[in-house]
Amino acid sequence: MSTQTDKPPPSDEILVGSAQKGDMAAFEELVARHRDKIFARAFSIMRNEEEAIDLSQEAWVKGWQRLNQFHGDSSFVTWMTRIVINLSLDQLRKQKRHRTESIEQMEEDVGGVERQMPVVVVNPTARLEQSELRQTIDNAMAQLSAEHRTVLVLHEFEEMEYKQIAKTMGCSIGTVMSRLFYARRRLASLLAGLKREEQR
Amino acid sequence: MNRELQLKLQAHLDGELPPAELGDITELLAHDQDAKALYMELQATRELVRGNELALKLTESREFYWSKIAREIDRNERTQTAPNRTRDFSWLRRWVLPLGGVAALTVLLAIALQAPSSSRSGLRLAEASELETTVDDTSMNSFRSESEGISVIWISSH
Repeated sequence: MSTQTDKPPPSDEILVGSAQKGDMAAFEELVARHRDKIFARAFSIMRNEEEAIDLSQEAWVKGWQRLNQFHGDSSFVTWMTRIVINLSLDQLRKQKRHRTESIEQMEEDVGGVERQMPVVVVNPTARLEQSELRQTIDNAMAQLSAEHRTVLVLHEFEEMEYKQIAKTMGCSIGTVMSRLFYARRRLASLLAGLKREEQR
Repeated sequence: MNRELQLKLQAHLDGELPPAELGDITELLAHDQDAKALYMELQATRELVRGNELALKLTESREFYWSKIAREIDRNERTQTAPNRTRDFSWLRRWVLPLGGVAALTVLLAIALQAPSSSRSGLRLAEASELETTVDDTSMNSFRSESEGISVIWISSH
C-alpha cells in the first residue's frame, strides 16, 4: 500500500522561473509568500501603514516589470527588498522637499550632540518577553528621524556595508557612519530612558 | 575622545576599520575606559536591534492585496502597448513634418522669386503707359487696375 504524501510547494526559484515566462499565478504565489516582509521593510522606513502598503504594492508591480533583470545573484526576496527600499527612499526624498528639516537632523548636522550624550548601559528590558522587547525597540526606532532610522534598518536588518548604504541612500560613507553613530547613541539613550520609567 | 576616534571605534565594531588603523583602536580600547564604555554601548545597541526586528503582518487579505497589484500590472501593460502605436506615428511624424516643412519653404521661395519679376513687368507696363504711334489721327486710352494687377490699353483710329 502506498502512502499519499503532499506535494512539496515549489521553491522560489521555480516560481520565479515560471513568472519570468509570464505565469502570473506563479508571481501571485511569490507575492503571497513574501508580502509581509516587503511591507515590513517599507514600514520600517516610512512608519506609516498606508504608505507602506502602497509602496509594497508598487514594488511588486515593478518586480513583475523587471523580472527578466533578476538573474539569481541574490535571493528573490532580497532582490524585492532592494526594490521596496529604493521606492521608500524616493518617497522620503519627495516628502523632504516639502517639509522643513527636523530639529534632530539640524542638531546632527551641526555635530557633536551625540558626543555629549552620556554613555548608558543598554539592558533596558531584561525582564521583557521577546515580543514586548521587539515592540519596545520598534517604538524607540520610531522616534528617530527617517534618515537615522533608515541607516539603522539597512545596517542592522539588511546587513548592508557602509559603502552599500551610501550608494543606496545617495550620500557619502562619512555621512553613513555619522548617522549610524547618532542613531545608535540616540536609541541607547531612548531605551535606557524606558528602563528608568519601568523601574519607577 | 574626538568624533573621528568615536567613528573609528564604531567602524571597528562593524568590521569596517582599515587594517592599518586596527592597532591604534585596539590600544585605545585597552587603555581608555571611556572608549571601552562607548564601544560596549554601541555593541549592546547593535546586538539588541539586530535580533529583534518586529515581525509585521499585513492585515489585508491575500486576494485584496493582490487585486490592486494585478490591476496595476494590467493597466501598465495596456499603457505600454499604447506608446508602441504612438511610436509608429512618431516615426511618421519625425519624417513627414520636416519634409512637409521643406516643401512648404520651397513653394514659398518659388513664389517669392516669381513675385518680383511680375512686379517688374507691372512696372514696365506702367512705364509704357505712354506709347508713340506712327498712325495719324489716333487716340489712345489706358486703364490700370492696381487691385487686379492689370493694365488695359486701347487704341482707336478715326
